Amino acid sequence: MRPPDHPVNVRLQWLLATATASALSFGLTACLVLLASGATAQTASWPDNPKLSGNAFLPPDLRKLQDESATSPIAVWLDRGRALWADSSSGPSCQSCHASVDALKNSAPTHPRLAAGGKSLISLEDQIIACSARTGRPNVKPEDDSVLALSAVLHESAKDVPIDVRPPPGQAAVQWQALLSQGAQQFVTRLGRMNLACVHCHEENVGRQMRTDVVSPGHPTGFPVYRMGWQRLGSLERRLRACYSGVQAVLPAPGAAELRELELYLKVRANGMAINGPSIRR
Amino acid sequence: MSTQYPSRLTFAGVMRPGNTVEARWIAGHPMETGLRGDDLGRRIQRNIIVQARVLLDGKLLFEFEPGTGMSANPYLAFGFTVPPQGGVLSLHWVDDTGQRGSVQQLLLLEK
Repeated sequence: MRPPDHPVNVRLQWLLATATASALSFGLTACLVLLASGATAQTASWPDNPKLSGNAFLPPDLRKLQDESATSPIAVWLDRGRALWADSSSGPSCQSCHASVDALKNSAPTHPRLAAGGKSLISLEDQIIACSARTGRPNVKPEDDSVLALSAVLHESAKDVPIDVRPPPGQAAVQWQALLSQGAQQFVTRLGRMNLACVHCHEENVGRQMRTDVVSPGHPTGFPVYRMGWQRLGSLERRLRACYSGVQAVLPAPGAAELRELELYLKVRANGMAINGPSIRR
Repeated sequence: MSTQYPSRLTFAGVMRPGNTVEARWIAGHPMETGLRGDDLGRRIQRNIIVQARVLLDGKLLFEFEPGTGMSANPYLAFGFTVPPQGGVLSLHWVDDTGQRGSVQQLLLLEK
């Protein structure tokens, strides 16, 4: 293992300097992985292309299921989301303010954003919940079917739009930068009984086998994801909490600030990559 | 928000009289087995599709009872023979809470 302070410093300086994805550290880890792994036939384009979507690491059967819109469970969620978009039974529908879903196609690639107070971050799902409360559905909770279905249609409309999370204009950029640094710090902070940080799997061991899975770089392009184990759609937040559980760390509460900060860092790290969600995962 | 579960019925194959065509049905139903607990340890009420009927032009093709072994978002594929004059294939189901749902598709014959 590396000395613990070394990667932190390298990455934080980088972030502060450019606030874009850390191409340098990718180059370093790419060399490590090249030395370390021989059998990665499925992911031949790693490490030449460090900005790989999770789709590149899907087993062929799931890839096939994802591509077949008629039989994929995602299709059912998209149907539900499109129906909700036009549903005005409890108040104004999404459509009455936002017109077509395509009008919001830049929404998914630009979240999380600073909340109105300028102190905390809101994800796309938080925004959907806030909108629901404003339009007569006050009891909508995170990970509800309706939230995920709407998130799915918004991501669907953003297909192939590059992720573009940037600091807000003016003074708010200072707070944004601080939150981003927090997220970057978490990415390299060891957690749980496994004593692992995100970086140990998703940068240093990409393309290698972890039990039956091939480790991906962990870019958040394909969310929300239909995970076979969950038997339903889940947001990026749920996936992150599952990672905390995987390394046997204390789970942060749903909606915790640290999850939003980590999401911000992941999105900035993936800036320029095309949105390709919703997608299927194991 | 209504609790209407979305479902889809699609076909694969050449839709000509006498041909066998595959119909595929998928529904966004939770198929809760009644064996799971929630975060507080309370048993979650069973809610599965207990019976589904497939009708071709209003005549029963077959009916089936999915049971708790079928996962959430149940998927079913079956073959059927296209009648000479085309028609309508429909699927009707009812779950443990008494909620009913149906989906139907016109069989558009190819030349």
